[in-house]
Amino acid sequence: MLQQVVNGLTLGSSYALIALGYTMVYGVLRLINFAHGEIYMVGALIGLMTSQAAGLPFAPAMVTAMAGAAIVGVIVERIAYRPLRKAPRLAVLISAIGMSIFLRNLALAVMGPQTRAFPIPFEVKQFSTGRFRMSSFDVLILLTSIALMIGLHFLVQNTKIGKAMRAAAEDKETASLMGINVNRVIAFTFAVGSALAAAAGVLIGMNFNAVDPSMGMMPGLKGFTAAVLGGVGSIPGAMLGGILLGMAEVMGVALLKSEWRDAIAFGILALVLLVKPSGILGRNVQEKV
Amino acid sequence: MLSLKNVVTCYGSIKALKGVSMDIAQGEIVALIGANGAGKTTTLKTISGLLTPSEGEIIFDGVDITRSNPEDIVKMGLSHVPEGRRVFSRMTVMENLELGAYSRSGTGSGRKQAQDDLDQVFSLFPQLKGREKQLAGTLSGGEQQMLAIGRALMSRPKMLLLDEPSMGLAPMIVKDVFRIIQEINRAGTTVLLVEQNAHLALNTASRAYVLETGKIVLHGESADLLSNDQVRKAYLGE
Repeated sequence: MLQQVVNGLTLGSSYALIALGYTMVYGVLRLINFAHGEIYMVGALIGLMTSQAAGLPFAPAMVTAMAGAAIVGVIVERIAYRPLRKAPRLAVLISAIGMSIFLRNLALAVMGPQTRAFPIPFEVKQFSTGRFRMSSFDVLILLTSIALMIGLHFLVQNTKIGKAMRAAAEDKETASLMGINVNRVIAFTFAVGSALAAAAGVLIGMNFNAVDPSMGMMPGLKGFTAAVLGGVGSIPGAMLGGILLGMAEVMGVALLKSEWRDAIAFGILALVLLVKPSGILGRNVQEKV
Repeated sequence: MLSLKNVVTCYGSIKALKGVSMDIAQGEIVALIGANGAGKTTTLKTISGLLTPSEGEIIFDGVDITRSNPEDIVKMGLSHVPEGRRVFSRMTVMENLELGAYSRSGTGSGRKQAQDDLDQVFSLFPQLKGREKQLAGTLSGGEQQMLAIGRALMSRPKMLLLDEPSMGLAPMIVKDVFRIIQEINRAGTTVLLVEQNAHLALNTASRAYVLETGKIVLHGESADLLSNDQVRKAYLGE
């Protein structure tokens, strides 16, 4: 049982990292960035290339992947979303899906369709006591995710740019009257969300020892589900939603069969959308006219 | 201090302002009155950069700001208190005030100044004192209006644009807010006040412009406008 909890936490914390990007972008733009799963993939790919080609150890490869994905995220916002800032939402959604397809095929052109193994930059240890087992991957995923989430919380709550982000999320027009450059805040939000997704991409790519151009699809959808479950737009909600979703999947697989994993996740998505579309910690935002 | 020359602002194909000209001197308190939909809010939004005029020019403190961004205009010392207060309701009173100082914060001396400005805001609005950690959305309407004005003052504006500060407030509170607006003006800040309550506006401001369907139809000393038949009929309900 304790074993399942740890597994759930590990899986859930990586979902939470992805969910944060969805929720932060939704917070400022009321937009679901459907290219987010591909940013996750790009992050994993950059992490793979830097640790493979440059032979970088874990920490620098991670930092490079996060920085690279942040830049890609900012570029995506600049060319696919900013020109459509005043366009109807459907147009932005189509642009997002287009961007997602583009990034996947770009990765396909660059690295080919085959799945690449991730070189493990450190020795993998297994910690076990009785029936309880934990690999150094689990520990690494858990610790990195927690550190990143604490860092994000501090950034959003206590820094000047974090306050500007919250102000822009609440009311962009008034934020600009305060002297806040809203476009810069939006770009920064994409950068942070993309960096978190890249971190998840590297961690999961390493854990499953597999990186391929379509790897962003499923985690992207799971991250989206986690964001909706926690209440899209809410940062603590994304963290909670990720953990709960990871737990539900692991418990479901333990009780049923592993084929049920995705059915459980998307069953939860359908259920949340039916019963409480605003999610656990979400607000019922009234549309402004 | 501020002058508008034949400013035209459109929403799509609809002309909301059809050539508005105004001149406001330093230290003045001037009212802009008019009926619903006359274009009062549009005028303020055009001045502060939220809307861009299609014709005309706006000069603030000797600088052409016709096509400047709102975030640059506030840095030049022109601060806009929007209609409906628009405090950041999910943030604390303190965070709202800090955001008001956003355009100047960061440097060491800026921080010291911000502290002085905070003290000044709390002395103008003692109601806000001791509630720094409260979420702005939980304040009463009057307190939110005071917070919105205090937040604008944190940018050390040379000029303040106030959009309907009396909206939705109890008469006692309105009196309070307007007394403070006059106090701010006496301390040297130029004020352009938009009000639907013409009586209140004309009794507060020294001069006023009357806006009707996107055009200035009348302007002059408040005292003269108060005794003007046209104004009395249309705006004072007499």
